[in-house]
Amino acid sequence: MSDVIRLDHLTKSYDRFELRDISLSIKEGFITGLIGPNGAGKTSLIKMMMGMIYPDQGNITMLGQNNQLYQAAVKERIGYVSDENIYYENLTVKQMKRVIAPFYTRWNEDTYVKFQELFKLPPGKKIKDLSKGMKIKFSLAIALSHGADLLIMDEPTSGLDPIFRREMLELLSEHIQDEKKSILFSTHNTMDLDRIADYIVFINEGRIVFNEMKESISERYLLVKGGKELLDRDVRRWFVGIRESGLGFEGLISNRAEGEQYFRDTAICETPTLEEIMYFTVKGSEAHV
Amino acid sequence: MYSSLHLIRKDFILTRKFMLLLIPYYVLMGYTNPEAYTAFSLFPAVLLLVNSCAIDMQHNNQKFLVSLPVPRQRLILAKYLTLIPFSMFSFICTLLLYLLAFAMGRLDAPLRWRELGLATAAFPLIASFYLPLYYWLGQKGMQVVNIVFIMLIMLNFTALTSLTERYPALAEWVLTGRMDNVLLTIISVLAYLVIIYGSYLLSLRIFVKKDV
Repeated sequence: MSDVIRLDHLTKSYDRFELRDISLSIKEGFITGLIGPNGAGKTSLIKMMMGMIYPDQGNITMLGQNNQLYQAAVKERIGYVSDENIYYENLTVKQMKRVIAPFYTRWNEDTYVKFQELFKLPPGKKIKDLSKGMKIKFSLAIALSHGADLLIMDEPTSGLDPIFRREMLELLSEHIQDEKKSILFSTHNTMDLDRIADYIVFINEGRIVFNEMKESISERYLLVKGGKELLDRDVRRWFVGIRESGLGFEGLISNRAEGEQYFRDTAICETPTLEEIMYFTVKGSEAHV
Repeated sequence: MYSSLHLIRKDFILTRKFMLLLIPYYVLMGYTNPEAYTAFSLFPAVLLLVNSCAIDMQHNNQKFLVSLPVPRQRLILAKYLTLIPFSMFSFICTLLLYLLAFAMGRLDAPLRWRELGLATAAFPLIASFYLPLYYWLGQKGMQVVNIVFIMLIMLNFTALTSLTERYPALAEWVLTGRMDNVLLTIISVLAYLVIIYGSYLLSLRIFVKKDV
């Protein structure tokens, strides 16, 4: 199983934000979800992969090639879907497609027409007059029409209605049936990833918290709900993050076996959702600042 | 190389509506000041360049360009190569204007083709100063530069047409086609090419590692 994306010790500094020593690999043939709160560095990381911003240090290997040395060859095999419109707003859907298609040697017009009909994209409508959902659909139609081996999607489901959101996730699941295709899907809505992701990369404050198979995450973390009397100074240290209320506490433990052993008989132990893992990790990191 | 052609084609698709706006410009200028027709091959080309650069810069469109399977070097090369068709467009429009004015009797002198060629050749030179600024300043800075640039071109419109008056050797070449000082001509041509190439290298240096 080869890596479609490999980041080695990436560093990028801004005035008030820094991506610090990011190293990770994304496996071929899977859907990988990139999660993290707003401002965690997801978009910066994706922009680096797409060659839109340059790291201060470190290397990026995409589809087995250095993404700076082989920009064209790498991007030929990547479909990029952004949450912001990157297309020329005054062109119609048809004109924009005519601009894009010649750049890709593997462009398949029949596939594009199929997606244009499936997504009900109006060819004569200007990009600026499309709704946000339609713009995402257009991006997706373009990305799927040039035979991309890797789809990189930055918050593609934000602003989509629930029906198309679900349809899109199904479409991505179908796309991944070809084991040579891979998807990197960034979102802060973890419910999307609960449905389709195989791997999860969690980034917070410019650092990778984990990069694991979705199943092994739920095997590792434990959500504990109980009375406040259970919390003393030593017990608190086990928690990644705790939320306390008048009724008791809810907290996330990253060592499931140890947590279950201690809290099994005194508290409610549950498998946390991705959202809960993200929430308590962010909350915990804020508490430690 | 094909990608450069696709990028040039893209510029023409993006600016074609703007090109239609140039028709009233040529009609108006041809009617009011047909004698100065040679200068009309410069200003529209500059406007086309400014327009195509502005469109590429606004609404995250540079991100679109960078997401294409084209090296950044090629994006810059294509922008410099676009100067040729933009020059040709202005040149042909000016030629048509002359022919029309000649046919209607508003002009009776033969075509001043050397002067026309000189005005057309001035465009890549002006673009050589504009493009590095465009790649350097980005969207916000360019709005100011565009206004200043267009104003400068308009203010220097008459200065450009009277260039031949300032340089007698140039005037003689324009009038007779004779060049006495061959060395100076060669140096001028070389300087012209060096400025354009230097501008291209500078743009490369600015944009190749720039975050968009």
